[in-house]
Amino acid sequence: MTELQPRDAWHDDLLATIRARAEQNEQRLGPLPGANDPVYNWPEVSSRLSRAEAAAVADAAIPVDRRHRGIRRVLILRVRTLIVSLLRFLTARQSRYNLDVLQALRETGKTVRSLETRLTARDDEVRQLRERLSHLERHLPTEAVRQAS
Amino acid sequence: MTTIAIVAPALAPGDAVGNDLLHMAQLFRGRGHAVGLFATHVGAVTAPCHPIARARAFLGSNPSAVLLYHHSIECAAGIDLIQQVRCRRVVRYHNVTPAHFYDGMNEACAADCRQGREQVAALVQAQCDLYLSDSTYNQDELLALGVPPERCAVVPPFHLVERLESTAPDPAVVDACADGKTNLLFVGRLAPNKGHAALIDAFAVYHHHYDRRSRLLLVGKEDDRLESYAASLRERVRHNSVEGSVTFTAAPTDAVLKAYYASADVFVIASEHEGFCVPLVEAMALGVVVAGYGGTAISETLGSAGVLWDDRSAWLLAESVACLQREPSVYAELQERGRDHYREHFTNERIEERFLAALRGLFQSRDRKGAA
Repeated sequence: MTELQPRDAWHDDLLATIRARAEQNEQRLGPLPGANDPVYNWPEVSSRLSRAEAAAVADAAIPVDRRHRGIRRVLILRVRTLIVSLLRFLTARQSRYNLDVLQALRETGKTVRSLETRLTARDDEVRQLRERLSHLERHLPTEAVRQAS
Repeated sequence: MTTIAIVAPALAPGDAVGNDLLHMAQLFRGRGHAVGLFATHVGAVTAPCHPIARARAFLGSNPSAVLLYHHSIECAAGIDLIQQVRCRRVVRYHNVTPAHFYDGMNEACAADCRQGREQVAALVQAQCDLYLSDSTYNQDELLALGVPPERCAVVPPFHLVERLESTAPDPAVVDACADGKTNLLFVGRLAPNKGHAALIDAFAVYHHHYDRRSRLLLVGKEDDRLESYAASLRERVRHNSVEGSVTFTAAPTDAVLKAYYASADVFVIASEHEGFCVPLVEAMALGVVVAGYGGTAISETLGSAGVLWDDRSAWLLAESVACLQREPSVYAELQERGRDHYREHFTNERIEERFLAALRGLFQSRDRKGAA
Protein backbone atom coordinates (compact mmCIF):
# COMPACT_ATOMS: atom_id res chain seq x y z
CA MET A 1 0.00 0.00 0.00
CA THR A 2 2.84 2.42 0.63
CA GLU A 3 4.83 1.33 -2.39
CA LEU A 4 6.08 4.00 -4.73
CA GLN A 5 3.08 5.15 -6.73
CA PRO A 6 3.17 6.14 -10.39
CA ARG A 7 3.33 9.89 -10.75
CA ASP A 8 0.50 11.72 -12.45
CA ALA A 9 0.73 14.21 -15.29
CA TRP A 10 0.14 17.22 -13.02
CA HIS A 11 3.03 16.19 -10.78
CA ASP A 12 5.30 15.48 -13.74
CA ASP A 13 4.54 18.92 -15.20
CA LEU A 14 5.26 20.55 -11.85
CA LEU A 15 8.66 18.85 -11.59
CA ALA A 16 9.51 19.73 -15.20
CA THR A 17 8.62 23.39 -14.62
CA ILE A 18 10.69 23.56 -11.43
CA ARG A 19 13.64 21.88 -13.11
CA ALA A 20 13.55 24.29 -16.06
CA ARG A 21 13.40 27.34 -13.75
CA ALA A 22 16.17 25.98 -11.52
CA GLU A 23 18.49 25.42 -14.49
CA GLN A 24 17.70 28.87 -15.85
CA ASN A 25 18.33 30.54 -12.49
CA GLU A 26 21.53 28.61 -11.87
CA GLN A 27 22.92 29.80 -15.20
CA ARG A 28 21.68 33.36 -14.74
CA LEU A 29 22.56 33.92 -11.09
CA GLY A 30 25.67 31.78 -10.74
CA PRO A 31 27.53 31.16 -7.48
CA LEU A 32 26.45 32.48 -4.11
CA PRO A 33 27.07 36.16 -3.39
CA GLY A 34 28.57 37.28 -0.09
CA ALA A 35 26.05 37.94 2.65
CA ASN A 36 25.62 40.75 5.11
CA ASP A 37 22.90 39.20 7.23
CA PRO A 38 22.56 40.24 10.85
CA VAL A 39 24.01 37.46 12.99
CA TYR A 40 21.37 37.82 15.67
CA ASN A 41 19.24 34.68 15.55
CA TRP A 42 16.28 35.07 17.90
CA PRO A 43 14.73 31.57 17.62
CA GLU A 44 18.10 30.01 18.44
CA VAL A 45 18.71 32.46 21.32
CA SER A 46 15.20 31.79 22.64
CA SER A 47 15.68 28.02 22.36
CA ARG A 48 19.00 28.18 24.24
CA LEU A 49 17.50 30.33 26.97
CA SER A 50 14.69 27.79 27.41
CA ARG A 51 17.23 24.98 27.72
CA ALA A 52 19.22 27.02 30.24
CA GLU A 53 16.06 27.77 32.23
CA ALA A 54 15.29 24.07 32.45
CA ALA A 55 18.69 23.52 34.08
CA ALA A 56 18.75 26.70 36.21
CA VAL A 57 17.20 25.18 39.34
CA ALA A 58 18.41 22.01 41.09
CA ASP A 59 16.31 19.24 39.57
CA ALA A 60 13.89 17.25 41.69
CA ALA A 61 13.74 14.38 39.21
CA ILE A 62 16.35 12.03 40.62
CA PRO A 63 15.40 8.72 38.98
CA VAL A 64 14.50 5.68 41.05
CA ASP A 65 15.19 2.32 39.46
CA ARG A 66 12.00 0.35 38.81
CA ARG A 67 13.65 -2.76 40.21
CA HIS A 68 13.33 -1.33 43.71
CA ARG A 69 10.01 -2.29 45.28
CA GLY A 70 8.25 -2.19 48.68
CA ILE A 71 10.04 -0.86 51.76
CA ARG A 72 13.25 -0.41 49.83
CA ARG A 73 11.53 1.87 47.33
CA VAL A 74 9.86 3.90 50.09
CA LEU A 75 13.24 4.37 51.81
CA ILE A 76 14.91 5.42 48.57
CA LEU A 77 12.11 7.90 47.86
CA ARG A 78 12.49 9.45 51.34
CA VAL A 79 16.26 9.74 50.98
CA ARG A 80 15.71 11.26 47.55
CA THR A 81 13.32 13.85 48.95
CA LEU A 82 15.86 14.71 51.65
CA ILE A 83 18.68 15.10 49.13
CA VAL A 84 16.54 17.27 46.86
CA SER A 85 15.47 19.52 49.75
CA LEU A 86 19.07 19.89 50.90
CA LEU A 87 20.24 20.54 47.36
CA ARG A 88 17.60 23.21 46.84
CA PHE A 89 18.44 24.87 50.15
CA LEU A 90 22.17 24.95 49.39
CA THR A 91 21.71 26.20 45.83
CA ALA A 92 18.81 28.61 46.45
CA ARG A 93 20.87 31.76 45.95
CA GLN A 94 22.63 30.31 42.92
CA SER A 95 19.26 29.32 41.40
CA ARG A 96 17.88 32.83 42.02
CA TYR A 97 20.96 34.29 40.36
CA ASN A 98 20.65 31.91 37.39
CA LEU A 99 16.99 32.75 36.87
CA ASP A 100 17.57 36.50 37.21
CA VAL A 101 20.40 36.44 34.69
CA LEU A 102 18.33 34.40 32.27
CA GLN A 103 15.38 36.74 32.68
CA ALA A 104 17.63 39.72 32.02
CA LEU A 105 19.04 38.00 28.93
CA ARG A 106 15.57 37.22 27.66
CA GLU A 107 14.48 40.84 28.12
CA THR A 108 17.64 42.06 26.39
CA GLY A 109 17.06 39.57 23.61
CA LYS A 110 13.50 40.76 23.10
CA THR A 111 14.66 44.37 22.98
CA VAL A 112 17.37 43.58 20.44
CA ARG A 113 14.79 41.70 18.39
CA SER A 114 12.40 44.62 18.54
CA LEU A 115 15.18 47.01 17.46
CA GLU A 116 16.11 44.67 14.63
CA THR A 117 12.50 44.53 13.44
CA ARG A 118 12.22 48.32 13.53
CA LEU A 119 15.54 48.65 11.71
CA THR A 120 14.33 46.27 8.99
CA ALA A 121 11.11 48.27 8.67
CA ARG A 122 13.10 51.53 8.39
CA ASP A 123 15.39 49.93 5.77
CA ASP A 124 12.29 48.96 3.78
CA GLU A 125 10.92 52.52 4.08
CA VAL A 126 14.24 54.02 2.96
CA ARG A 127 14.37 51.61 0.02
CA GLN A 128 10.81 52.49 -1.01
CA LEU A 129 11.52 56.23 -0.70
CA ARG A 130 14.63 55.84 -2.86
CA GLU A 131 12.60 53.97 -5.48
CA ARG A 132 9.94 56.70 -5.48
CA LEU A 133 12.59 59.41 -5.70
CA SER A 134 14.30 57.81 -8.68
CA HIS A 135 10.89 57.29 -10.30
CA LEU A 136 10.09 60.96 -9.83
CA GLU A 137 13.48 61.97 -11.18
CA ARG A 138 12.84 59.91 -14.29
CA HIS A 139 9.25 61.01 -14.95
CA LEU A 140 8.71 64.44 -13.41
CA PRO A 141 10.67 66.57 -15.94
CA THR A 142 8.90 64.97 -18.93
CA GLU A 143 5.46 65.50 -17.38
CA ALA A 144 6.33 69.05 -16.36
CA VAL A 145 7.45 69.78 -19.93
CA ARG A 146 4.28 68.19 -21.32
CA GLN A 147 2.06 70.26 -18.98
CA ALA A 148 3.94 73.41 -19.79
CA SER A 149 3.49 72.81 -23.50
CA MET B 1 -4.30 -14.83 26.10
CA THR B 2 -0.83 -15.00 24.62
CA THR B 3 2.44 -14.12 26.35
CA ILE B 4 4.23 -11.55 24.20
CA ALA B 5 7.74 -10.24 24.85
CA ILE B 6 8.58 -7.06 22.95
CA VAL B 7 12.33 -6.58 22.79
CA ALA B 8 14.44 -3.72 21.42
CA PRO B 9 18.01 -2.45 21.73
CA ALA B 10 16.74 0.78 23.31
CA LEU B 11 13.52 2.30 24.55
CA ALA B 12 13.57 6.08 24.61
CA PRO B 13 10.82 8.70 24.63
CA GLY B 14 10.27 10.55 21.38
CA ASP B 15 12.18 7.94 19.45
CA ALA B 16 10.44 6.40 16.41
CA VAL B 17 11.31 2.84 17.44
CA GLY B 18 10.19 3.51 21.02
CA ASN B 19 6.86 4.95 19.88
CA ASP B 20 6.27 1.95 17.61
CA LEU B 21 7.11 -0.49 20.38
CA LEU B 22 4.97 1.24 23.02
CA HIS B 23 1.95 1.40 20.72
CA MET B 24 2.27 -2.31 19.97
CA ALA B 25 2.42 -3.09 23.69
CA GLN B 26 -0.68 -1.00 24.32
CA LEU B 27 -2.50 -2.66 21.42
CA PHE B 28 -1.70 -6.19 22.63
CA ARG B 29 -2.63 -5.36 26.22
CA GLY B 30 -5.93 -3.94 25.01
CA ARG B 31 -6.63 -7.28 23.37
CA GLY B 32 -6.00 -9.15 26.60
CA HIS B 33 -2.47 -10.45 26.02
CA ALA B 34 0.27 -10.53 28.66
CA VAL B 35 2.96 -8.16 27.40
CA GLY B 36 6.48 -7.58 28.70
CA LEU B 37 8.88 -4.88 27.45
CA PHE B 38 12.61 -5.56 27.37
CA ALA B 39 15.51 -3.34 26.29
CA THR B 40 19.22 -2.86 26.87
CA HIS B 41 19.08 0.93 27.16
CA VAL B 42 16.03 2.55 28.73
CA GLY B 43 15.33 6.29 28.69
CA ALA B 44 12.80 8.23 30.75
CA VAL B 45 9.69 6.28 29.74
CA THR B 46 6.78 5.63 32.06
CA ALA B 47 6.14 2.08 30.85
CA PRO B 48 7.91 -0.61 32.92
CA CYS B 49 10.80 -2.05 30.94
CA HIS B 50 13.19 -4.82 31.96
CA PRO B 51 16.68 -5.93 30.89
CA ILE B 52 16.68 -8.26 27.86
CA ALA B 53 18.21 -11.03 29.99
CA ARG B 54 14.83 -11.43 31.72
CA ALA B 55 12.84 -11.94 28.52
CA ARG B 56 13.64 -15.64 28.31
CA ALA B 57 12.18 -16.33 31.75
CA PHE B 58 9.13 -14.22 30.84
CA LEU B 59 8.49 -16.31 27.72
CA GLY B 60 9.14 -19.57 29.60
CA SER B 61 8.96 -22.78 27.62
CA ASN B 62 5.58 -21.96 26.14
CA PRO B 63 5.76 -22.60 22.36
CA SER B 64 2.70 -20.45 21.75
CA ALA B 65 4.31 -17.35 23.28
CA VAL B 66 5.53 -14.64 20.90
CA LEU B 67 8.86 -12.85 20.83
CA LEU B 68 8.65 -9.59 18.87
CA TYR B 69 12.13 -8.22 18.34
CA HIS B 70 12.73 -4.69 16.99
CA HIS B 71 16.00 -4.36 15.11
CA SER B 72 17.50 -0.95 14.43
CA ILE B 73 21.09 -1.12 15.70
CA GLU B 74 23.58 -3.54 17.26
CA CYS B 75 21.94 -5.69 19.92
CA ALA B 76 23.84 -8.88 20.76
CA ALA B 77 21.44 -9.74 23.58
CA GLY B 78 18.45 -9.53 21.26
CA ILE B 79 20.09 -11.71 18.60
CA ASP B 80 21.08 -14.32 21.22
CA LEU B 81 17.52 -14.35 22.50
CA ILE B 82 15.97 -14.83 19.09
CA GLN B 83 18.37 -17.70 18.40
CA GLN B 84 17.63 -19.43 21.70
CA VAL B 85 13.88 -19.25 22.28
CA ARG B 86 11.50 -21.88 20.97
CA CYS B 87 8.37 -19.78 20.78
CA ARG B 88 6.97 -17.86 17.80
CA ARG B 89 9.40 -15.21 16.65
CA VAL B 90 8.65 -11.97 14.84
CA VAL B 91 11.29 -9.53 13.63
CA ARG B 92 10.36 -5.88 13.30
CA TYR B 93 12.91 -4.39 10.92
CA HIS B 94 13.44 -0.62 11.15
CA ASN B 95 16.64 -0.70 9.08
CA VAL B 96 20.16 0.09 10.32
CA THR B 97 22.06 3.20 9.27
CA PRO B 98 25.04 2.17 7.10
CA ALA B 99 28.26 2.52 9.11
CA HIS B 100 30.08 4.60 6.51
CA PHE B 101 28.08 7.68 7.54
CA TYR B 102 29.83 7.59 10.92
CA ASP B 103 33.30 6.63 9.70
CA GLY B 104 35.81 9.24 10.81
CA MET B 105 33.15 10.93 12.92
CA ASN B 106 32.63 8.49 15.76
CA GLU B 107 34.09 5.01 15.72
CA ALA B 108 31.77 3.65 18.43
CA CYS B 109 28.68 4.70 16.43
CA ALA B 110 30.21 3.27 13.25
CA ALA B 111 30.92 -0.04 15.03
CA ASP B 112 27.36 -0.22 16.38
CA CYS B 113 25.95 0.30 12.90
CA ARG B 114 28.37 -2.15 11.29
CA GLN B 115 27.52 -4.87 13.80
CA GLY B 116 23.82 -4.02 13.54
CA ARG B 117 23.98 -4.58 9.78
CA GLU B 118 25.84 -7.87 10.24
CA GLN B 119 23.17 -8.97 12.69
CA VAL B 120 20.47 -8.58 10.03
CA ALA B 121 22.02 -11.60 8.32
CA ALA B 122 21.85 -13.52 11.62
CA LEU B 123 18.17 -12.59 11.95
CA VAL B 124 17.51 -13.92 8.46
CA GLN B 125 19.38 -17.15 9.20
CA ALA B 126 17.26 -17.62 12.32
CA GLN B 127 14.27 -18.25 10.01
CA CYS B 128 11.77 -16.45 12.16
CA ASP B 129 8.04 -16.84 11.62
CA LEU B 130 7.43 -13.31 10.40
CA TYR B 131 9.46 -10.30 9.27
CA LEU B 132 7.64 -6.97 9.58
CA SER B 133 9.28 -4.06 7.78
CA ASP B 134 8.50 -0.35 8.12
CA SER B 135 8.67 0.09 4.36
CA THR B 136 9.06 -1.79 1.10
CA TYR B 137 12.58 -0.39 1.01
CA ASN B 138 13.39 -2.22 4.26
CA GLN B 139 11.59 -5.35 3.14
CA ASP B 140 13.60 -5.47 -0.09
CA GLU B 141 16.77 -5.72 1.98
CA LEU B 142 15.38 -8.74 3.82
CA LEU B 143 14.20 -10.37 0.59
CA ALA B 144 17.66 -9.84 -0.91
CA LEU B 145 19.16 -11.67 2.08
CA GLY B 146 16.87 -14.65 1.48
CA VAL B 147 13.76 -14.20 3.63
CA PRO B 148 10.84 -15.98 1.87
CA PRO B 149 8.28 -13.41 0.62
CA GLU B 150 5.42 -15.25 2.36
CA ARG B 151 7.04 -14.49 5.71
CA CYS B 152 7.32 -10.77 4.96
CA ALA B 153 4.89 -7.92 5.46
CA VAL B 154 5.18 -4.14 5.30
CA VAL B 155 3.66 -2.31 8.25
CA PRO B 156 4.51 1.38 8.78
CA PRO B 157 5.61 2.28 12.31
CA PHE B 158 3.10 3.49 14.88
CA HIS B 159 3.60 7.13 15.82
CA LEU B 160 2.39 10.00 18.00
CA VAL B 161 0.97 12.18 15.24
CA GLU B 162 -2.54 12.10 16.69
CA ARG B 163 -1.18 13.29 20.04
CA LEU B 164 0.74 16.03 18.23
CA GLU B 165 -2.40 17.09 16.34
CA SER B 166 -4.28 17.63 19.59
CA THR B 167 -1.40 19.50 21.30
CA ALA B 168 -1.45 23.29 21.49
CA PRO B 169 1.72 24.84 20.01
CA ASP B 170 4.19 26.46 22.41
CA PRO B 171 3.41 30.22 22.17
CA ALA B 172 7.01 31.31 22.83
CA VAL B 173 8.30 29.32 19.84
CA VAL B 174 5.43 30.47 17.60
CA ASP B 175 6.17 34.06 18.59
CA ALA B 176 9.91 33.65 17.97
CA CYS B 177 9.24 32.38 14.44
CA ALA B 178 6.39 34.74 13.55
CA ASP B 179 8.37 37.68 12.23
CA GLY B 180 7.32 37.47 8.60
CA LYS B 181 10.29 35.35 7.55
CA THR B 182 9.81 32.20 5.47
CA ASN B 183 10.44 29.22 7.77
CA LEU B 184 11.99 26.10 6.28
CA LEU B 185 11.82 23.19 8.70
CA PHE B 186 13.63 19.88 9.06
CA VAL B 187 12.98 17.52 11.97
CA GLY B 188 15.48 14.77 12.73
CA ARG B 189 18.31 14.07 15.14
CA LEU B 190 21.69 15.60 14.32
CA ALA B 191 23.20 12.54 12.66
CA PRO B 192 25.37 12.35 9.54
CA ASN B 193 22.91 10.30 7.46
CA LYS B 194 20.30 13.05 7.77
CA GLY B 195 21.94 15.27 5.17
CA HIS B 196 22.00 18.50 7.16
CA ALA B 197 24.99 19.75 5.15
CA ALA B 198 23.09 19.42 1.87
CA LEU B 199 20.12 21.19 3.44
CA ILE B 200 22.32 24.09 4.55
CA ASP B 201 23.78 24.36 1.03
CA ALA B 202 20.33 24.37 -0.57
CA PHE B 203 19.06 26.85 2.00
CA ALA B 204 22.00 29.17 1.25
CA VAL B 205 20.99 29.22 -2.43
CA TYR B 206 17.38 29.92 -1.49
CA HIS B 207 18.30 32.57 1.06
CA HIS B 208 20.77 34.49 -1.09
CA HIS B 209 19.02 34.20 -4.45
CA TYR B 210 15.30 33.89 -3.73
CA ASP B 211 14.30 35.14 -0.30
CA ARG B 212 16.57 37.07 2.04
CA ARG B 213 13.88 37.00 4.70
CA SER B 214 14.00 33.27 5.26
CA ARG B 215 15.39 30.92 7.89
CA LEU B 216 16.16 27.24 8.23
CA LEU B 217 14.98 25.53 11.41
CA LEU B 218 16.92 22.33 12.13
CA VAL B 219 15.00 20.65 14.92
CA GLY B 220 16.51 17.55 16.49
CA LYS B 221 18.48 16.12 19.37
CA GLU B 222 22.22 16.65 19.43
CA ASP B 223 24.27 13.60 20.33
CA ASP B 224 27.32 14.26 22.54
CA ARG B 225 29.20 11.58 20.62
CA LEU B 226 28.74 13.53 17.38
CA GLU B 227 30.12 16.90 18.46
CA SER B 228 32.45 17.04 15.46
CA TYR B 229 29.48 16.59 13.13
CA ALA B 230 27.56 19.42 14.80
CA ALA B 231 30.68 21.62 14.67
CA SER B 232 31.15 20.90 10.96
CA LEU B 233 27.55 21.92 10.29
CA ARG B 234 27.97 25.21 12.15
CA GLU B 235 31.14 25.83 10.16
CA ARG B 236 29.20 25.15 6.96
CA VAL B 237 26.60 27.68 8.03
CA ARG B 238 29.36 30.28 8.47
CA HIS B 239 30.97 29.30 5.17
CA ASN B 240 27.66 29.85 3.37
CA SER B 241 27.15 33.21 5.12
CA VAL B 242 23.78 32.21 6.57
CA GLU B 243 24.76 32.23 10.25
CA GLY B 244 21.97 34.63 11.19
CA SER B 245 19.36 32.49 9.52
CA VAL B 246 19.97 28.87 10.52
CA THR B 247 18.66 27.66 13.87
CA PHE B 248 19.78 24.45 15.54
CA THR B 249 17.33 23.53 18.25
CA ALA B 250 15.71 20.61 20.04
CA ALA B 251 12.03 19.95 20.63
CA PRO B 252 11.89 18.65 24.19
CA THR B 253 8.07 18.66 24.31
CA ASP B 254 5.17 17.98 21.94
CA ALA B 255 4.12 21.64 22.30
CA VAL B 256 7.50 22.87 21.05
CA LEU B 257 7.54 20.41 18.16
CA LYS B 258 3.99 21.36 17.23
CA ALA B 259 4.99 25.03 17.29
CA TYR B 260 7.79 24.41 14.79
CA TYR B 261 5.39 22.58 12.47
CA ALA B 262 2.81 25.33 12.94
CA SER B 263 5.43 27.95 12.02
CA ALA B 264 6.84 26.06 9.04
CA ASP B 265 6.15 27.18 5.50
CA VAL B 266 7.87 24.19 3.90
CA PHE B 267 9.32 20.96 5.34
CA VAL B 268 12.67 20.28 3.68
CA ILE B 269 14.53 16.98 3.66
CA ALA B 270 17.93 15.90 2.35
CA SER B 271 18.42 12.63 4.27
CA GLU B 272 20.65 10.10 2.59
CA HIS B 273 19.29 7.13 4.48
CA GLU B 274 15.82 6.62 5.95
CA GLY B 275 14.07 3.34 6.69
CA PHE B 276 10.71 5.13 6.84
CA CYS B 277 10.96 8.77 8.15
CA VAL B 278 8.16 9.52 10.62
CA PRO B 279 8.62 13.35 10.37
CA LEU B 280 7.29 13.13 6.79
CA VAL B 281 4.08 11.65 8.18
CA GLU B 282 3.94 14.42 10.80
CA ALA B 283 4.39 17.05 8.09
CA MET B 284 1.68 15.54 5.88
CA ALA B 285 -0.77 15.23 8.77
CA LEU B 286 -0.12 18.79 9.94
CA GLY B 287 -0.43 20.27 6.46
CA VAL B 288 3.18 21.27 5.82
CA VAL B 289 4.26 20.54 2.25
CA VAL B 290 7.54 18.67 1.77
CA ALA B 291 10.36 19.44 -0.66
CA GLY B 292 13.67 17.63 -0.78
CA TYR B 293 15.76 14.81 -2.09
CA GLY B 294 14.24 11.36 -2.53
CA GLY B 295 15.94 7.99 -2.26
CA THR B 296 15.87 5.13 0.28
CA ALA B 297 12.37 5.03 1.87
CA ILE B 298 11.63 8.76 1.52
CA SER B 299 9.95 8.62 -1.90
CA GLU B 300 7.86 5.66 -0.79
CA THR B 301 6.64 7.33 2.41
CA LEU B 302 5.82 10.65 0.75
CA GLY B 303 4.39 9.33 -2.53
CA SER B 304 3.42 12.23 -4.82
CA ALA B 305 2.42 14.48 -1.94
CA GLY B 306 5.49 16.70 -2.24
CA VAL B 307 8.40 17.68 -4.44
CA LEU B 308 11.25 15.15 -4.35
CA TRP B 309 14.37 14.95 -6.50
CA ASP B 310 16.65 12.03 -7.19
CA ASP B 311 19.52 14.36 -8.15
CA ARG B 312 20.80 16.23 -5.14
CA SER B 313 20.99 19.73 -6.62
CA ALA B 314 20.77 22.72 -4.27
CA TRP B 315 19.22 24.79 -7.06
CA LEU B 316 16.44 22.24 -7.59
CA LEU B 317 15.60 22.23 -3.90
CA ALA B 318 15.77 26.03 -3.65
CA GLU B 319 13.55 26.48 -6.71
CA SER B 320 11.10 23.91 -5.31
CA VAL B 321 10.73 25.92 -2.11
CA ALA B 322 10.41 29.13 -4.12
CA CYS B 323 7.71 27.56 -6.30
CA LEU B 324 5.75 26.43 -3.23
CA GLN B 325 5.97 29.94 -1.80
CA ARG B 326 5.12 31.64 -5.09
CA GLU B 327 2.20 29.47 -6.15
CA PRO B 328 -0.47 28.98 -3.46
CA SER B 329 -2.52 26.68 -5.72
CA VAL B 330 0.42 24.26 -6.05
CA TYR B 331 0.96 24.39 -2.28
CA ALA B 332 -2.74 23.74 -1.61
CA GLU B 333 -2.85 20.78 -4.03
CA LEU B 334 0.22 19.13 -2.44
CA GLN B 335 -1.08 19.88 1.05
CA GLU B 336 -4.34 18.13 0.22
CA ARG B 337 -2.49 15.19 -1.30
CA GLY B 338 -0.40 14.93 1.86
CA ARG B 339 -3.44 14.87 4.11
CA ASP B 340 -5.15 12.27 1.88
CA HIS B 341 -2.00 10.14 1.78
CA TYR B 342 -1.75 10.28 5.57
CA ARG B 343 -5.42 9.40 6.09
CA GLU B 344 -5.25 6.59 3.55
CA HIS B 345 -2.06 4.90 4.75
CA PHE B 346 -0.57 6.26 7.93
CA THR B 347 -3.13 6.92 10.65
CA ASN B 348 -2.51 4.63 13.63
CA GLU B 349 -5.90 3.07 12.92
CA ARG B 350 -4.78 2.08 9.40
CA ILE B 351 -1.46 0.83 10.70
CA GLU B 352 -3.23 -1.25 13.36
CA GLU B 353 -5.33 -2.90 10.64
CA ARG B 354 -2.21 -3.80 8.68
CA PHE B 355 -0.33 -4.92 11.76
CA LEU B 356 -3.11 -7.21 12.96
CA ALA B 357 -3.65 -8.56 9.44
CA ALA B 358 0.06 -9.41 9.21
CA LEU B 359 -0.03 -11.18 12.58
CA ARG B 360 -3.30 -13.01 11.87
CA GLY B 361 -1.55 -15.88 10.08
CA LEU B 362 0.87 -16.26 12.95
CA PHE B 363 -1.86 -16.49 15.59
CA GLN B 364 -4.02 -18.78 13.43
CA SER B 365 -1.15 -21.22 12.85
CA ARG B 366 -0.49 -21.19 16.60
CA ASP B 367 -4.13 -22.00 17.29
CA ARG B 368 -3.98 -24.87 14.81
CA LYS B 369 -0.81 -26.12 16.44
CA GLY B 370 -2.42 -25.80 19.87
CA ALA B 371 -5.51 -27.71 18.71
CA ALA B 372 -3.34 -30.43 17.21
